[in-house]
Amino acid sequence: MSADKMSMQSPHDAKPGLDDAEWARRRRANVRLGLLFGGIALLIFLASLWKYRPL
Amino acid sequence: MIFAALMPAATGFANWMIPLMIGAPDMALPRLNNWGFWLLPPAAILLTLPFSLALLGIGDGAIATGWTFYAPLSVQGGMGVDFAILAVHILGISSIMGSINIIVTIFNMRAPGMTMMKLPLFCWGWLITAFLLIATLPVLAGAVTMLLTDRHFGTHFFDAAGGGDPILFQHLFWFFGHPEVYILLLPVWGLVPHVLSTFSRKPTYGYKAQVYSYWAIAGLGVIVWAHHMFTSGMSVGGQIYFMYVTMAISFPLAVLFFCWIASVWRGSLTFETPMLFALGFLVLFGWGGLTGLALSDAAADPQYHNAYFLVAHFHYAFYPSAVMGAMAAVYYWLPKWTGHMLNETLGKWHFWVAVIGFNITFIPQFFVGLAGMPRRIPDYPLMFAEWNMISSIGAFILGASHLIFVYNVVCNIRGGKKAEARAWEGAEGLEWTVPSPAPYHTFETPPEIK
Repeated sequence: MSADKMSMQSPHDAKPGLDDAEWARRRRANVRLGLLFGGIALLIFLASLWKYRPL
Repeated sequence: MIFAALMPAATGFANWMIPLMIGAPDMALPRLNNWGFWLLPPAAILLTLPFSLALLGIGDGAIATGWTFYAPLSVQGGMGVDFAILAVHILGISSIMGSINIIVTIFNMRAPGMTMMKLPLFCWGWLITAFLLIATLPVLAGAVTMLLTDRHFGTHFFDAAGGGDPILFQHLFWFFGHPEVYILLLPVWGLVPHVLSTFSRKPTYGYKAQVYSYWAIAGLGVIVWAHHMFTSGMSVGGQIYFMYVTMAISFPLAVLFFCWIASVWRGSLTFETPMLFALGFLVLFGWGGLTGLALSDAAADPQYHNAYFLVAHFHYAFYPSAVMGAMAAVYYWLPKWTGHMLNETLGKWHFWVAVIGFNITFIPQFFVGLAGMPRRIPDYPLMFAEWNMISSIGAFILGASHLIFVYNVVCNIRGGKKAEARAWEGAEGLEWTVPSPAPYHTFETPPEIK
């Protein structure tokens, strides 16, 4: 089946969205929260190594 | 199977469905998503490469430790272990990226008015799964890093001759490994109520009770890991503790079961393919749960643990949940993905052939396990031969059932009856308010949730 027959590829909806400032604010909040949880994962990894470090 | 198939499959469902279910245009961090996905192929190649290289006469073959990497076998193993360690690191990073994305999406991207206690249960199941992944995967990463340094950099974390302790590896592995069970099962436990309520044509029973049960199971799930190690040797106090907290999981799980049964009770039931898979999950997973209760008894566990009884239990827990649950999800959401209704006749054939094949495969393993057939040993006494033959026949039937599934999905993608926005009569939720197939970036103007 050719790609153009797949109606999933139809970003046609040019609806009015939220304003740009609101989306920019959301994007910043998303990145901050992502970094927080990434940092927590890294800390747990380092703590699991540190706990059993060679003496 | 667990790292490279079940986990990525569940993440795929989350990526596709969570934005649609919470009224968001997309996942919160799409580039992170992209990274998470494209890390999977190199990891899969790394996992399988030693096997392929051995066929060409290079190296000493694939990882020979099983998925648990138990030391000291893994410390002494060939280069396949190194490939697997790197693959697990990459798969872990991919899963953590997916988890971060899911948490951020659910916290920050919900439509106005969608409070946490209005969140669809599938999203709740995945949110808690994401927390479990972030809490436990780094510990597995730490364990396999120590394994790598033991193998190549002269450390002795798991080497008794150097003052280390091989049992430490088991503790670190199962600190990840037992929550991993819930990581694989919670998304399905979140999905099943949607399917049950759709085909019963009534709201799911006990929404709050189900959410609190997810949390209780996840909380208990991270403090029960050493029940996998009753046969490794443990103090009596340790055995008693791990036995009772493991048994305690059956309480919130029973709450979930009764909620699911109450959800279909006196409903206007119809038995389309997704409903069959959801009900099949309910019945078969019940067996998996009950046999788990038997295994949690520290006194009885040595009889069951290193025998085929455990293999049968494991598959009764995982196949109905992770595979039949995933099938219920695919059949349920396929019209939303492709815009076509699936072939119900083929779907029903798939279900019944799979259920019959599954039971023929794994029921005999309870029998031979209780009779003393050990697991992880490639040969067995002649007295077990007949049941093993029956089990093998069942495995071929089970495998063949999935060919029907593949054929059905291919047919569905290529054509079929057009699906309406609300593909199933009793379906509720934001994902059923958008056209089938759902366009990209669906809710750029967020819907109002009353």
